[in-house]
Amino acid sequence: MDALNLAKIQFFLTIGFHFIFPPLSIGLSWFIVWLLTKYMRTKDVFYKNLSWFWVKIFALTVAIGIPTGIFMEFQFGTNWSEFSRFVGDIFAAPLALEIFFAFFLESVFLGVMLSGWKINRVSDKIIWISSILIAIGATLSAFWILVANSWMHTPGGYELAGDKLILTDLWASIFTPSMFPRFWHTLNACLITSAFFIIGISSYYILKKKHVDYAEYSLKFALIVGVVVSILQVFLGHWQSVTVALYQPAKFAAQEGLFVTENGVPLLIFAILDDSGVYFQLGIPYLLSFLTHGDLNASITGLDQFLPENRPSILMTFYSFHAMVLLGGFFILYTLIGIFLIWKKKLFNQTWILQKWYLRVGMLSIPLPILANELGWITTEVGRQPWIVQDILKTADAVSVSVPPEQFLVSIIIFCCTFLLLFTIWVLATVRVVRKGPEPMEAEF
Amino acid sequence: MSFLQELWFFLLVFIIIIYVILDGFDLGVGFWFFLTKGNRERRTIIRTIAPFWDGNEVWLLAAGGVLFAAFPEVYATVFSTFYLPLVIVAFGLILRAVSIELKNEFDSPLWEKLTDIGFILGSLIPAVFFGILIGNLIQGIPLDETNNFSGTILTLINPYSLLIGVMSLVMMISHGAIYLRVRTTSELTEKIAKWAKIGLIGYFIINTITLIISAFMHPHLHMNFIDAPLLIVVPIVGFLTILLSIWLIIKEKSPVFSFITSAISIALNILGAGLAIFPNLVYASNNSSRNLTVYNASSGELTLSTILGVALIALPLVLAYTAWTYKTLSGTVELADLEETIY
Repeated sequence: MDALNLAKIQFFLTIGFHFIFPPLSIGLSWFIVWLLTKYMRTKDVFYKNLSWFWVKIFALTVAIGIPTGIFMEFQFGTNWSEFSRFVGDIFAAPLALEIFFAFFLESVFLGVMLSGWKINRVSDKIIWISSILIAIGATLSAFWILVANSWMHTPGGYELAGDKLILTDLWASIFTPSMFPRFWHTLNACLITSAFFIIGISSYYILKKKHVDYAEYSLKFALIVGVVVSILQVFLGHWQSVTVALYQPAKFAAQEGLFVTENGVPLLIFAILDDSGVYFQLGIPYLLSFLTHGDLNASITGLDQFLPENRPSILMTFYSFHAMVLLGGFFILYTLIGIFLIWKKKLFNQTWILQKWYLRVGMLSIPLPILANELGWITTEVGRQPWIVQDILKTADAVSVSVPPEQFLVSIIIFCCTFLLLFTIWVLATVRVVRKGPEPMEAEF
Repeated sequence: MSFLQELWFFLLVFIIIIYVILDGFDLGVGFWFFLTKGNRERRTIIRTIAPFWDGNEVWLLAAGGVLFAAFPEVYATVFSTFYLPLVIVAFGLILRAVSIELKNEFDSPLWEKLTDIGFILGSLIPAVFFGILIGNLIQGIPLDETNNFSGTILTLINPYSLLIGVMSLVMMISHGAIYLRVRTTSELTEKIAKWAKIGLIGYFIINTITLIISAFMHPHLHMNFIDAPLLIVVPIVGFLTILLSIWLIIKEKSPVFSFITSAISIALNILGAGLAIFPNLVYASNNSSRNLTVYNASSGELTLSTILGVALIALPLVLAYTAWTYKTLSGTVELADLEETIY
């Protein structure tokens, strides 16, 4: 295989693996802030014990998330040196902002919160403030990396000077057209991810009849937040899609499975297709035109408007997009049922047989939002191909020229082994913390 | 414009100095960890760095991020040239992070052993590799007309860069021992005081060798010192501060002072290297007209001034809250209170 494809695979693996963790930790960090705020206001140790439990889970997540993120910062140079030369003037500023205003905050105060809590040397107030700073740091980190990523989809604020781009307008390079829809859609996805994580773990306790008071509180909280963010995601996802239709028509055509430009386009619900054509499709007539342009007969650009070498893989884009949407539907359904059960006072009713099934499904759903995140990321990145910066630089021209293919291969092997090991350790360690459950603090010492 | 470019060179040097001073001690601690025996001693050692190592490591990211934003051409060349070494460094840092943070998550002697090894290797690998990287950049690497590396991985393994690799390792080891001397009491102290002496003497020797070899092997490093002879004060004072820290350790003066002198010697060594290569960031060994300098490899004016604004706001802020955490969380760690506890 050539260096380009190996570089792509390597990048896909490292980012894809890293991307499991930050969405979890971003949502959990805000949940911890909530619990500690409750504790500060009520001084009820219930909240302190519960937050310590979630802090331990959070700490495991960042223990994998942070170190796997380090190499991300190197990879623009290691894998995509020509990209870095070409766009470094613009693309790297948000990364620097991320480091200075997010990473430092998150890492330094994580040390304060964890060690301070363990050695009992800092006050509750400092721990509470640290938790807020960590959550802000984690969220800002998402913001800046999505600023950088959005620029690759809808570049702005630059001009071509010789053989590279230079920055001409800082604000236009930060607030690109896709930035806000992407940021809110992704941040909301982080909240869904952690809501389902909390739902799953709490369900386990209720099923096992252990730590029930802690679990009921967490489950209720996660379901209420979960239903709000899952429904909100419909609108944020729609906003994102309309932005894609406007600025990245090739990606939009690929994610909707549209080969030919048409008027009055149906919204495909299900289709069998590959990169050469659609073999079977089931759609709601006129809906895509209506959703995108507010007009039943509006024309939507199909892939036929693009040269074959400028088309993304419709196979990957369409299926990853539709699988993500399907999962999104499940999140709404599941959390709605949960709210209904809370309202009917059935959720914590141990004698009711369906309650067990509801909770079991909750446990099994833990990985689903993570999967949805990955699918959304694949949709947006594969849909932009063959461009690395939309309409400006092709991925094939961005790859490092001085790295021989074998080195990419060695790196793929090293990281595959490492990631398998890390993932196993993370799951086992999390299971172990969950087994121990929320306990009064003294047990830690 | 050229002022901005020159300023960013020194800001980058400053960030690297902070990184090596801070992460230097917690990487160096990994070496002494290797020499300790038993759970209690090992956990004491881990505990001295537990609250800080993660924040310290962010300075590495800051150095990389600033290099990318201020000198993208250098970032692209250096990171693609050192592809495999950086993959191994990343691997080491992942191992290390997991070994520190998850050490107590499983009660198994095997896991204990594995995380011990992970911590040691994960500390030593980056320390050596960063030195090798810097050594190569100072000595020069072959570049083609597109600023891309034209050698092979074997080009990067050469005596001078290996020497700088060893120098980097020994410097961090010595710094780590002095840090431990500050942070521990009880029966470990005597052992550590001995380590600190050994470490510092090793640092002194390797530093002397490096200065002599650099001066003789690489005449291109003389230029700035010939133009402005006063600058020679920097490496000389750097050299003398090592002697001062040795004296402080042997006379058993305040360990905090010896830590400060150790930090100053590191700072002056790195600054001295920076002064020697300025305005070059990467020497092209095959054709000096291809050297990557602050003038031909930087971002444009708007980017440089933007990130300068960012750095001027962020650096004092970050340094202030980092200093606060050290003040709050760094009392001495005693063996006695560690029985059956989590680091």
